[in-house]
Amino acid sequence: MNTRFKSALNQIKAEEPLVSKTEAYLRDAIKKNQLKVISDIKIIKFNSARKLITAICTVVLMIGGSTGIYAYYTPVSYLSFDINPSVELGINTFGKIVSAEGYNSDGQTVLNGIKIKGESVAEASKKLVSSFVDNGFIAADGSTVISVTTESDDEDEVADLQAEAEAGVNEALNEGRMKAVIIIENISLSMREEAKALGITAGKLNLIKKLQAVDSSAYFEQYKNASIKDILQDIDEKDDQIGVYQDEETEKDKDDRVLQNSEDEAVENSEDEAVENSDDGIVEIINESGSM
Amino acid sequence: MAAQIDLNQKVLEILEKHSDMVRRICFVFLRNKSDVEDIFQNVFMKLLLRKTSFENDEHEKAWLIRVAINECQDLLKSFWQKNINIADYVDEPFKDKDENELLQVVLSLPQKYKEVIYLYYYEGYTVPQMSKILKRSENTLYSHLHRAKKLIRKKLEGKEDEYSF
Repeated sequence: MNTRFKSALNQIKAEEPLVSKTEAYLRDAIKKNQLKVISDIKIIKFNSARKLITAICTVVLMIGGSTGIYAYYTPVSYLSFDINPSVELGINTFGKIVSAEGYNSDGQTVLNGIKIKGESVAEASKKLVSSFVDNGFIAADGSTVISVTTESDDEDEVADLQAEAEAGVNEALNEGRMKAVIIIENISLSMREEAKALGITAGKLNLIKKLQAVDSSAYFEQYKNASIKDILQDIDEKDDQIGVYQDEETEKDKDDRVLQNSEDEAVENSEDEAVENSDDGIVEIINESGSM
Repeated sequence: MAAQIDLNQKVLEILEKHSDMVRRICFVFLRNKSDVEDIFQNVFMKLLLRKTSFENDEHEKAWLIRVAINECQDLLKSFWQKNINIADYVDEPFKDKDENELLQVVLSLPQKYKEVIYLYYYEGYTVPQMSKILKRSENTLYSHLHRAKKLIRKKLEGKEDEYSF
């Protein structure tokens, strides 16, 4: 991989016209002494008519006003957080939180006193998990399971949402010096409608359905108010082979994963070792952010 | 004034030295010629606007990588990039069929995975080093690396051994 990948990429070189054009561009900027002016504005250049036309269209659309306002306040995807407190966030097309709903009294408690509307997904996830910590919903022994579920039909959007949510959750746990098991999954928007009608988040409904797949005697009302940890425990108990649960997910090609934050594992673990350890879908590594 | 002239000259030297690397990063992320040109020029314009000098060559290289990746990703996050896909680069065919196949697989990965694959396998950075360059937690990067490798293996459909992957 390494050699072939390197060899292939080595064939990519900066084309001479591109380098000379850039050099001329830089020399021109130096000559005109426009650096100060340029530094105060965002550098936006339109090198092609196509982009200019697209930009003009965008401006026209924005001038449309009402359409823009409607788009801003309309969620196009959702993100649910479940421990037992269950919360669902609505996200608009610009990636901002436009709604936050507690699905049970604990969920409403968690949302009390925090302002997450208008925030980015990462910031909202961080604030929400910090509130879980502050309200005592994260056990100090690291046994708490947080289910984070994106509800969207757009694959690219799912990847972005999950990455942002994961970053926010990790940051909040690190800041609170807590650890927890995090499950991240995606489900379709159609399942959200079904869950909403039942009064639970789609993330929880998804897990209850997984349980019912291995235990036909499990009924919905029994688990409606159960914690995610309890539901997962029952899934494990009913299915001695834990891998079956993960294999099933792999087959469905879902980007789910279990990520356990750990503060007591040695950071010296080599990356290969960490990657190897994660082969069964469980990544257990220290969180340590560095600065440049 | 003389110091400023030296600094400007230094920027032109860095352009000469790292132009291929910045072009490669653009290649990994962008499929549109005018976008590549914009980002390539923006990276070196930002370098020109940078007031402070670098601690050493490694610092200089890491700074350029970070700025180039961020510029590419900012561009890809923009409204029209998300909604209007204009790819005018025909997939660049490489002489070696296997190399071509492997590259197409890597290029088809989500953005967040491409950056770790590029830094890890091409530039040879370790995860802690990538963490400093990208300003992300090591935890996240280990996960991305693992998932990226898993996706590549899946897309290679059983040929992963041929690539020692």
